[in-house]
Amino acid sequence: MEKYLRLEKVSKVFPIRGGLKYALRNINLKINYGDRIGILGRNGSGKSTLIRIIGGATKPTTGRVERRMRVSWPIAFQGGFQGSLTGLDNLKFICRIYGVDWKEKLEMVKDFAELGRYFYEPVKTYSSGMRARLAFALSIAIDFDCYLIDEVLAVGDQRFQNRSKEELFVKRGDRSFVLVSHQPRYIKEFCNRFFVLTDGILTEFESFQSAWEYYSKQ
Amino acid sequence: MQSSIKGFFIMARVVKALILRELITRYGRDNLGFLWTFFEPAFFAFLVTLVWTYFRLHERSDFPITAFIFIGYSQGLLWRNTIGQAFRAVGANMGLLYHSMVKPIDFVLSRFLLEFLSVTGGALMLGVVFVGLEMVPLPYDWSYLLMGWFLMAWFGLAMALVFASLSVLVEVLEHFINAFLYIFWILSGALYPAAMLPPSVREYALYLPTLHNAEIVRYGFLGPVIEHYYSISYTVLFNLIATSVGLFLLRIAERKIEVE
Repeated sequence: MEKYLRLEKVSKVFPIRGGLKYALRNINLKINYGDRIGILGRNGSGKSTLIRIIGGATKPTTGRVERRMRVSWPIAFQGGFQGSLTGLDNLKFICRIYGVDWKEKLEMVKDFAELGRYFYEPVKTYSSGMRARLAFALSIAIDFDCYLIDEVLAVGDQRFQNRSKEELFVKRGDRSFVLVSHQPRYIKEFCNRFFVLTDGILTEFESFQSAWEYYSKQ
Repeated sequence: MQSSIKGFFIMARVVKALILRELITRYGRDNLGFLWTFFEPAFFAFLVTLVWTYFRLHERSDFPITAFIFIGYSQGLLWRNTIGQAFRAVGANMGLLYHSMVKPIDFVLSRFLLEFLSVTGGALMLGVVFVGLEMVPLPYDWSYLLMGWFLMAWFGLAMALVFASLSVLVEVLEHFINAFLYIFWILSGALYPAAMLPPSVREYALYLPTLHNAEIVRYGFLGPVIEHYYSISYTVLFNLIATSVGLFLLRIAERKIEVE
C-alpha cells in the first residue's frame, strides 16, 4: 500500500472577537513517503495550526485530510508531561496509547535521554534541559512514517542537538519529515521540498534559494 | 464497520492508559496510596453512620438507619465524585490532545470508570465489614440494588459529560461548582427517604432522578421497610436525554478547545 498524506483544500477558521480569523487558506499538499518537507513561516503564519492538522490533533474547518501513514506528534513536545509522573511513567503512558510494549523501548529511551537515576524521579524535579531530552527520547521511541518537527530541534546543548539530528535525519533517513521553522538552518540542511507559509497560504518553491528569497522579502 | 471496531479498541487502549496514569498522579506512588482509592469513599460513609448511631436514633425505631445511610451515601458518591473529577478532566489533560488518538471523551470516560470502580469497591468493602459486624443485613433484592446502582452510575456518566463540557464552555462556573455540588448533594436524595417528605413536597422532589435511583438502591438493599417512590422509566429516560445532551455539549466544547 502506498504511504502518503494528502491535504485537499484545507482551511481552518477560528472565531475571534468581532469576526473570523483564517489560520489556513485552501491548503493543498501531498506528502509522499520519504519527502522532507521544509516550511518557512513567521510567528502567527499558521505553522502550528498546520502541524496540528497534519498530525490529526485538530480537524480542518473545510477540506479533507487523507492520512495513509503513521504521523508523529510534534517532536519533543512537552505539553503532555505531568509533574508528578516520572520519566518511566511517561514512557509507559506513551507506549500504552500507541500500543507498544514499553519494556522494549526502556533501554533506548534511558540511553538517549541520559537522565540517569532521574529517569525514576518525578518530572517536576527535572531541569528544562532534562525535560527536553526526555521529550525528545519519547518521541523517537515510537516508530512513525512521518515525523513532525515544530521549531524545537534547538534544545539542549550542542552535543545533544547533534545526537538528535543523527537520530532523526540519519537513522530515520528514509522517513518523511515535516519541519516548520522561522529559521532557515535545518530546512536548508535536511529538506528536499521547500515551502513558505504566509498568512495561512502555503506556496511551494523549486529550491531552498527561491523559497528563502521569497520568505526574506515578506 | 471495521473502522468503528478498531476505533473502539483504540479508545479502550487510551482510556486504560489514562486510568493507570491517573492512579499514579492522584494516589501517589506508594501502595497505601492505591488502597486509599477504596478507603476514601468508605471513610465518608462510615463517619456519617457513626454520627447517626451516636445520637441514638437507632433506638427510637426499627428503621435500619445504619444500612440506610451506608447505602444511600455510597450510591450518592457515584455521581458526586464523578462530577467533581470530570469537571477538571479536560483542563488537566489538555496537552495530551496532541496525540491524535486521544480525545476529550477519553478523559471523561477514564475518570468516570476510576470513580465508579473506587466507589463501588469502597461500598463493597464497607458492606462486608458492616454485614460481618451484623450492623446491617444482607441485601434484600440484589437485582434492584444493582439496577439502581447502575442507573446512578449512568447518571454520573451523563453528568460527567455535561460538566466536563461546561468546564470548557463556561469558565466562570469554576467558582460555583463546589457550592452547586454541595447543595445538590443535600437535595439529591442520598440522605433522606422520599417517604419522609410531605406528599406536596415529594411531588416536586421526584423530578430529581437521583432520588429515584437512591430509592431503587435502598429498596434493593433494605426491602419494604418503608414505602419507596421511584419510576424506572423516568430515570432511564432522564439518563438517555442527559447523555445525549452531554455528548452534544462535548462536541461543542471540542471545537472551543481547538482554538486554545
